[in-house]
Parts: sequence; C-alpha cells; structure tokens
Amino acid sequence: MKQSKRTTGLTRRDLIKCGLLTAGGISIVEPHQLFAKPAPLKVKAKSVIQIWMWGGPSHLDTFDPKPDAGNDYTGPLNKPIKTNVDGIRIGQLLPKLAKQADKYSIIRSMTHGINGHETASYRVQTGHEPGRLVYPSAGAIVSRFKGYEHGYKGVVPPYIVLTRPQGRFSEAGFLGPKYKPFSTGGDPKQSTFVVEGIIAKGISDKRQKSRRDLLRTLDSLGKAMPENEQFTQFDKAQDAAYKMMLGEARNLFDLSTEKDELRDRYGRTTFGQSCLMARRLVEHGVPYITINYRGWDTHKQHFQLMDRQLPQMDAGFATLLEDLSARGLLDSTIIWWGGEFGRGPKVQWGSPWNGGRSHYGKCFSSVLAGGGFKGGQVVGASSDKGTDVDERPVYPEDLIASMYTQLGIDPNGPLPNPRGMDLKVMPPKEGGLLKEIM
Amino acid sequence: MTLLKKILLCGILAAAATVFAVDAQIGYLYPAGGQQGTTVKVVAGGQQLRGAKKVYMTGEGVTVKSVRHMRGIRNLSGDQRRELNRIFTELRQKGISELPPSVQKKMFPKGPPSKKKKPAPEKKDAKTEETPPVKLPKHPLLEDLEDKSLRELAHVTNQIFIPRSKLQLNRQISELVVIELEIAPDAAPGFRELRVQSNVGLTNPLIFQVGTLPETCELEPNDAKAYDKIRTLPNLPDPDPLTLPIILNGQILPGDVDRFRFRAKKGQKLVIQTHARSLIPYLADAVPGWFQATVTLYTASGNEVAFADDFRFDPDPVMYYEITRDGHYELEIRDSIYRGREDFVYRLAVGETPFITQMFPLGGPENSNRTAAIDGWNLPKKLLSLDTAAGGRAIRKTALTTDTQVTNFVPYAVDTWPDCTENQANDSIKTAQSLTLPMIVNGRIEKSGDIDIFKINAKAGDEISAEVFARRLNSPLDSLLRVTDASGQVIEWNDDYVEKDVHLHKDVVGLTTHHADSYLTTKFPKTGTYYVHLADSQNHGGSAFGYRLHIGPKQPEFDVRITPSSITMPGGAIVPLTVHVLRKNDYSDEIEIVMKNTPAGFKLHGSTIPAGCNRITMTLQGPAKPLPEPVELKFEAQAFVDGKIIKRDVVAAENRMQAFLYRHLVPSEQMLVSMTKKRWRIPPVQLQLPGSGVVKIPAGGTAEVKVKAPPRAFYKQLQLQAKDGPEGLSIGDLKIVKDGLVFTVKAEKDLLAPGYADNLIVESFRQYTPKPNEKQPRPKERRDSMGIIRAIPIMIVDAKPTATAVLKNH
Repeated sequence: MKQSKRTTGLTRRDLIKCGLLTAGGISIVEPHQLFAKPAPLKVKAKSVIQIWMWGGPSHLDTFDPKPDAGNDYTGPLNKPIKTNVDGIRIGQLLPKLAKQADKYSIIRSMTHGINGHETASYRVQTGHEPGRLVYPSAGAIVSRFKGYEHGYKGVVPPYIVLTRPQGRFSEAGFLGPKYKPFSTGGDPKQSTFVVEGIIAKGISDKRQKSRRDLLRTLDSLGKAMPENEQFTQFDKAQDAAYKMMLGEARNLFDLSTEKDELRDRYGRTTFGQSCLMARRLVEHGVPYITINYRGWDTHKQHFQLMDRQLPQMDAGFATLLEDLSARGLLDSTIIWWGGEFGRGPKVQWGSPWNGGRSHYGKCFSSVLAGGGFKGGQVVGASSDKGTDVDERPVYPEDLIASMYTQLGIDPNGPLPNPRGMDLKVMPPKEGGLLKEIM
Repeated sequence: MTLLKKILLCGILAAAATVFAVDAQIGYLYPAGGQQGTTVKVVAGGQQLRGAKKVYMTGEGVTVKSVRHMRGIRNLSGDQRRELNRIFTELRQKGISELPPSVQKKMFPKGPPSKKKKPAPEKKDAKTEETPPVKLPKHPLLEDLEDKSLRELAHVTNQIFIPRSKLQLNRQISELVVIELEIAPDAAPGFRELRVQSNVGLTNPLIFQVGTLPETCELEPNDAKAYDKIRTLPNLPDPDPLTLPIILNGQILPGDVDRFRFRAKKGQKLVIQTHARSLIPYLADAVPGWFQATVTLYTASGNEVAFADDFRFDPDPVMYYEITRDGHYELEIRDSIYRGREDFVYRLAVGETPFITQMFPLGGPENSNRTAAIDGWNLPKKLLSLDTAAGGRAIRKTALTTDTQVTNFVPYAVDTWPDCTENQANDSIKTAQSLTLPMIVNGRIEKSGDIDIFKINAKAGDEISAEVFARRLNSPLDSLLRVTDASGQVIEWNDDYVEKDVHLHKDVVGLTTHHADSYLTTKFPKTGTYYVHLADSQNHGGSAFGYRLHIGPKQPEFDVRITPSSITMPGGAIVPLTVHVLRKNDYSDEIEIVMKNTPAGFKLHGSTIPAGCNRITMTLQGPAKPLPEPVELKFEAQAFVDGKIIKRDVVAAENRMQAFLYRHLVPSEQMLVSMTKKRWRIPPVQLQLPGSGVVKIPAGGTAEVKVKAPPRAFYKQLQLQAKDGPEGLSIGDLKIVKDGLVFTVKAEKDLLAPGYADNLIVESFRQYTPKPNEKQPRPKERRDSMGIIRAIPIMIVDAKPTATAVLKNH
C-alpha cells in the first residue's frame, strides 16, 4: 500500500481549500483538530416505522386537545381523556393509545407554515424547503445508510411502503431510483395480501417455478453468451426477484400465520393489518417502513370521519406499541406518527364544509416512540386554541435529525450525492435536536 | 322546572339552533336564466332548503309562481325506478311507432323491438290486493313526459339511470328546490340576485340572468357529438340543428363534454359568449376555484375552426367567428381539466349578437352628460350614454340595448373629481401633459411600449396619491405607475396593488384575482416639477387598453363592506355582522357605521370601527315582533376628516372562498334580512357604559361586566365564551348576582397591548345533562349554544378600569 510522504496527508493547498490557513500562512487551528473525528454515534435504533397520516391529521382531535377552546374549535370532541402518564391528556377517541402513553412522546409544537399538500409533504419527509435540489426522504436516507451497502441482507428491499406510494414527490430525490421505496400494493386486510411482484393471487409456488424453468429453457441467447455482462446482471436481478417471490419474502407477507386474536387487536382494517405487517418487517430487520395511511384530508364532515377513523388508528397504533414492546423490539424501533401538517383549529361549520377542518402548517403535532426516544413526555406547547406554537418550535429537520441520531446516522455528516456536492445529511436548527426525549 | 319554563327553554334552544346551525345556502341554479316573456322552471341545488316556499329576486318583472323542495332525482327507490323504466319503455315504443315507416325501417331493419316482456316472477308471499300506485318525484325532468321527443326522453333516462361513478355526493348542493318563474316581456335584461327562503332561513344570493334570446337546455348524450348515439335507439335520426341566436344551458359533470349543433350561413359574424364563472364566481372546494370553461367550434366534418378558454383576463371565454361557408357547426364546452359537478353551470349565448369589446372613456364625473365611444362586434351604434347620477355606486355597469337584443354589460366609474382626456403626444418628458390636481385622466396605452407621462407641479412636502382604474373597469391594461423628478430619478413606483387581510382579498370589485391596477402615494422632497409615468407592465397596448388615472392630493379615503348579505333571525335576536374596511391613503381614524334606513326595531351595536381597525364584528338586533317579509337594510360609513364628515355607502357583500384558501368580498346588490316566527327568548341585554362607552381592560388584567337580567334557573348551567375574539382575550368567572350576572374579561399582556380596541362578542352556552327517561336512561351531557349577546366595545388600557360596565335589560 502506498503511503503519503506527508504525515498529515494534507497539502497546504488542501488547508487553504478548507479555509484553515490565514493570509499569513499561519494555521488557525491546531493540527490535531484536523483529524478530530466525532465519536461514532451510539446506535439506539435499528428500524423506523413511519405512520404517515396522509392528508394531515387534526392535532386538536388527536394528541393536542383543547377542550376549553370552545365548540368552534373542538366540535363535539371536547372531552379529552387521561393517559397512563400523569398530566398528559389526548383525544377522547384514542382510549387504547391513552394506555400506552408511557411509550411515546408527543411533540405539540411542530411547525413549518406550509398549507399545500405537495410542498408540506416534501418539507416534512425530507426536512428541506423546496428548492433547486430534490432531496431524498428520510426513508431513502435510512436506506442509503442502513441498506445493502451497509450489511443489510434482508430478502425484501430496505425501504418498504405499505401499501401505496405517496406520489406527492420523488421519495428517493437526487439519490436516484436505487433508493426508492418498494410499495407493496394490495391490501393486508384481505385474506391474501397480494404484494405486487411477490404474491399473485391464484399462482402457486409450483406454477411459478415451472414458469421460471420454462423461461430458462427458452433462454437460448443467454446460454449462447454466458460471459455477457449485461445478461449476467439481468440473471442476477431475475434471481433476486424469484427469491422474493418464492422464498422467505413470500412467507414474510403471509399474515395468516399470526394469531387471530392479535390480528383482531390490531384491527381488521388496512391500517391495522399494515401495522402488524410493519412489525413483521421490523422483526425481519427492514430498516425503514412507511405506512401510508390515507384519509386524513378531512375538509368536509370532519367529525363524522373522525368517529370512523380514529378508533381504527387507535387500535392499530396502540397494538403496534404494545406488540413491539412485548417482543422487546420497541427499544430498537422508532415509530414516527404524523402527517404533512395539522388541521385548522377552527372548525369550518358552514357550507360547503359542514364541519370541516382546513390545512394547517403553522402548528401541529407529531409523535415519536421507541428507538431510544423516551416515552411519556410532551415536547413544546401550542397556544390556547392550538393556532400557534407557544413553546419550543420543532421543525421537520429537527425531528428527522433526531431520528437519524438515534439510528447512528450523523445528521451533520456528509451526504453522498451523484453531483458530488458538499451536502450534509440533515443538520437540525440550532438547539433543534430533540435532546429532551433522546 | 315548571312546564312553562321548559317550554321557554325549548324555545330558546330552538331559536339558538335557528341562528347557529349551518345556514341555508344555494350552490347553483339551473338553468341560471330565462328569456323575457317566458315561464321557466329553475332547479336550485343547495343545503338546508327543506320547507322552501318563497324566493326573492332583485329587480322588477320576474314573478315567482311556485317553489317546491324535492329530493335528488337519482335518489329513487327500487319501485320508483321500475315504474319509471316501465313508463319510459312505453313512451319510447309509442314514439317509435309514430315515426315515419321509412325511419322505423332504417332504425330497426329486423322490425321494431318486441313489446312482449317476460312476465315478472310472482313473489312468494305476494298479496292479492292491488298495490298502491308508485309515487314519482315531481321533478321538472319528469314533467310532460308524453310531450317529449325520443331524444328528450333519452336525456331524462340518461340523467336518472346512467351511473356517474365520478360524481361524488356533495352535501352542500344535495337538496333541490324547483322554482317556477314568470319573466315579464318587459323585465329588464341582465343579472339579478335570487335568494331562497327555507325553514332554516334565507340563502345566499346567486345570479339569475334575464335574457332576450330564445333558450334551450342540453340533451345528453352529447359528448362525442351533439346528437350522440342513444344506446336504446342506436339509429335514431338526428333532429334539426338549432337555429341562431340562442342561449344554450347546461351542466358539466365529471369528465363531461357538451356539444350543440347549429346551422350557420357564410358571412355570419358569430359571437359566442360564455357565462360560467360570472354565474358562480368562486368554488371553495375546487382548484382552480371556479368552473374554467373552454369552448371549441367545429365544422360538421369535425375540423376545429376556433377555440377560446378566456376573454382577455376574464376566465369566461368569448369567441368571435365569421362563418366561411354555409353548413352545420358544432360547439363544444367543457371544463379545461375535465372536472365537473352539478354547480358547473353554464349559459352560452350564440348568434350574431352585439358585444362590446372596449369603451372610452371608462367613466365620468358625477352628474355629467357623459357619452362613451364603444367598439366591438355586431354593434348597431358606437356611442353609449352613461348614467352618472350622484348617489350610486362608484363602479356601475351598463349595456347597449337595441330593439331585440342587449349587449354584454360593461363596467364604468363615476367619480367626484373632474376628468380630462389624455393628450396623445404625451409619451416623453418634453411633451408630458400638464395636470392641475385633483384630476382623473381618461387615457389609453395605445400600443406596445407606449408610456403616458403627466406633468405636475408640487411644493416641498406635498403628498399625492395616484391610482389607476383599468382592470377593475374591464381593461386589459396591466398598469405600471412611476413618479419621477425632472431628472428622471424614480421617487415612487407600483405595479400591482391589493389590500389583503391574510387570505382575504379586499378588492372593490370582488371578482378580480389578478390585481393589475397600480396605486401609490408619495411625498415630494422639494418644490418643482414631477412626472407621473403610466405604462403596461407586460409591454402590451392597444385601443382597448383604456384607463382612468386618478392623481390628486393625498386625502383620507375608505370603503366599507359588510357581510353576509343574507341574514336570518328570530324576532328580537342578535346576530353578528362583519365589517371590513378598505383604507386608502394612510387613513386610520375611527369610522362610524349607521343604518341609513332603519326599519322599526332594528339596532346596530358596537357600531364604531376603532382607529386602525380593518375588520370588526358588530351585532344587529331585530325587532321583537318578527316582520312578515324580508327587509333591505342599508348602512352608511361616516368619518370625521379635517372637521368634515365623509360619508360612504356600505356595500353588502358575500365572503366567498376560492380554492380552499383565498377569500374575496363579492358585492351583493342588497342586504336582505329575513325574520323567522320563532321568538328569541334570551334575556336581551343593553349596554350602559360610563362616559367612554367602552369597557376598559388593563393590559394583563381583568374588567368586570355586569349583565342585568331577570332571574332564570338555567343561569347555573350557563357558560360564556368570547367568540372570534383576538388571541389573548378571554371570559373569566361568571357569577350570578341579585339582579343578573357578572363576568370578567381578561386580557393577556403579551398579546394585547394598551390602545387595542375591538368589539367583544360573547356567546352563551348551556351545559347540562338531561334527566334520564325511557328513551335515554343514561343521557349524555349537552352543551347547547344559546346565541350571542350584543357587541361590547372594549379597549386595552394601561391603568385599572375607571368604572364597571353595566349591562341592563331593555
């Protein structure tokens, strides 16, 4: 191995580039500082389950109730319930989550001020303001730092979306398609969870294998050119696909192996069974799972929808916390609950809304659990009517950087990118890191 | 509780519910107009329309013959569907049999479809008695079915039986009211406002157009071509094309395209004018926030010959096309991005109709004999007399009327300042046109790159305002205004100006979304000659690019809007009114709102708009005895400026949302107040204040407000809450005292600084648990709104309050 002649390995030119030499050529930093690398972060979390409340959930009706704000703000949901943590109350339609409050922390001072779905989704999922560059989502970053290049050997991709992709923006951003999530499609509440490309209804393993064998028999060109690199790559990809279709992956998505009692507790809904699926993926070692939970863009007849949807969310989310905890997985699994924004604190009673809530990015709530985050805490506070952040504003980049820290990804570390730009992973705002719950 | 008290309480709750439930409202009218001298049945789609029996329309000459509430036509029972199917089959067969044999043979080469049908299987437990006849809904679609043509029958079938998978149920337009209107032959053509009175109250106004041309409504299926193939009658011959001129009415549903066929002759100068966005200016739950229509003209062979998706800056397309050869043409209308819903209503005027494309000047001084030159298509005259009588609105509309037709309505301004016409050679400093202020210049940006320059002499410290009225007067000019000194140094400039209150656009016209008109004020640093330059910011120009440029001393100016324009209240009730102030030229003083025509018993409370305040809620109290018919209320804004009173008419408006976010104050013709027969039984209160007339609250402290009221048992269950108040103002403890109630008002020091003034609107609630009964053995706790009490003027002060406010009974 070649060794540099200079012990430092850095030229003067390098130092000037780094801005470490003054005009007079005198170093303004001690030489040892040049080599001082931050101690590697302690890895507390291995996986993330992101419950993406697609459309933006109401913070007042979930984790930041304001019973004294009056009917124009609370609507009929004006009786928050106590949790198993003294002093913390949450929405009255979340009794199961109330019993798990010691396992999660509520951030009641999330803010970014954006009220459009696309822009707010990008802002919350990437931590960046929209601009010239399209940044990757947190899932793609985790996939980049915890995926195949870093020892992940799972039979399914390291970034899974249950069940439908966002479509609001490109999750992989400038990292490229390699880091895009694998969207399962299908519906886990059905008797057969038809995962796109893995499980096809009515096609048995035997039939799938015979199809593969037929294809191989017919592959005369591949046989004639065994050394062709492109064909070799194609064969590798094909083998990987079949591995997913025929092997462990198929079993991974088979929820029928779970006890009925547990499936019932999660709720026999798309969301409930997605939560169960997410737990199985965590057990398998998948580092990032997003549950895209649709139906929270409740412009019209909001409270009727809350009556229907919040109990589903309550069952799925609470059982996930309980189940992960019981299996000893909660300590190493972050659960991130939240949407692109909250909903308007003031109810729109009039037509055409008939009791609806609008988009609201000025102040909303997120929830973090597990993976080294403390439970039973409340971060920040909103105003009396939930309209403004009163204490401790938390921006999306603060939350994401805190998650990365727990995962052992240095938010201030370099973010490799195809353009070779000097980018950092996700620097939080000053004082933004959620140290109070880490 | 005595029975009497229970009854009284029920009355209170019912009254409260009347005022604070979702308001009655209408989202569309279809058709949204009718021809003079005809009777037309109009369907109004809305919400809370049950019990609708009356309709109110502005203007003379339109009589309401009947009003009937009904369910949606698609919401039919199985029996009704079967019965309708039977009727349609019979009528269709009858219609076919009446066609000429040659046509029948062409339609059914193998003979007409058999009349025999399989007998319906007998129900196992069918009763022997005759089943009662099926009652069908009384919808206009189902009237006079026997007289309908086969294509008309197909349209009815289509409307009822063809599923609309993409058509979502929208509660805000799910109820229907059928209104029969008789339009007198001499009813003035133009836009009217129509309101429906239901059990809940008076709806918002919507536009109904009285027209001069014959009208027709679309017949589905008409998507691929005007007379599309009918599934049950595949070879039905096409009817004769439509004869021009005509008004085409229709509704665009999701993915829908409507086509119409007409006959035209070479040389005809067709004007195709769309009314869509002009009928329903803003949709709250659609992006963009209105029906964005496009129209396309095709030849019979399907070649596109003309297309329009707007008219200059107006989203409603207008098309002019000279027919080049005799024949049939098809006109297509759709939404630009294929959205649709029942409230995507349109009216298409097609024919050699007169249309004004430009007018000059765009207004005149009050009480002047002003005649404007007009230009456009198919105009019989080139001059138009403007009504400039004092007392009307500053921006008015007019049209050219001929014996048989009326042009489009065009806006113009009526002002108090003198005006002049621009000197054409005013496009350089050297040739700048001298003005003596105040002055309004009527001018045009004649061509691309044209700049009109005006010279004014000013003394050091003089302040002027300069404002362009162009876009608001239908001119395509997108003005850019600059003030320079003699050396060309820019002192002030402005491109677009709009006064906004967060997302509320406080524009005088209310329909403008690109606020292209410029406005500026400036103070001259030294005595000398200055120049005002006016150009088009997009470097366009032409004879239509007219403007009225106001230049004068900077004088306090304001306009006031009051919402909503439809009010419903029980006798003696108190309802909130929101007042919006459009302040100009840094005017920030108090403004007083007074009622111009005070019908007996009406009172306005909290009628002072504090200095610097741009939006405030006042309360209106109605007479204890409900009035039998709605009354129009008129308000005036008054302000003292330099010892003189300035008066401005307050314009009633609707606060309409556009595309989930933006709001606009859309002016209405009138404010109409309707009173229900239910009595308002909240003990009425009257504010008796010390000298200032205002409750003074120390910053960070509290003030007490006393309500003198007769004793009531439910006071123990009463809760008060500040409604729509500013952050930092809250109601504290409520105490029952000997002769009424006392509550405290608290002001947060950090949020409300001394000097802040507003009206406090207090809503009262009764929180209680009903007694268990058989139906509800374990009743839940209830919290019912009892309504609001009258506006209480408040001010945040440094010191402790000097006196306690006392609220007394009437």
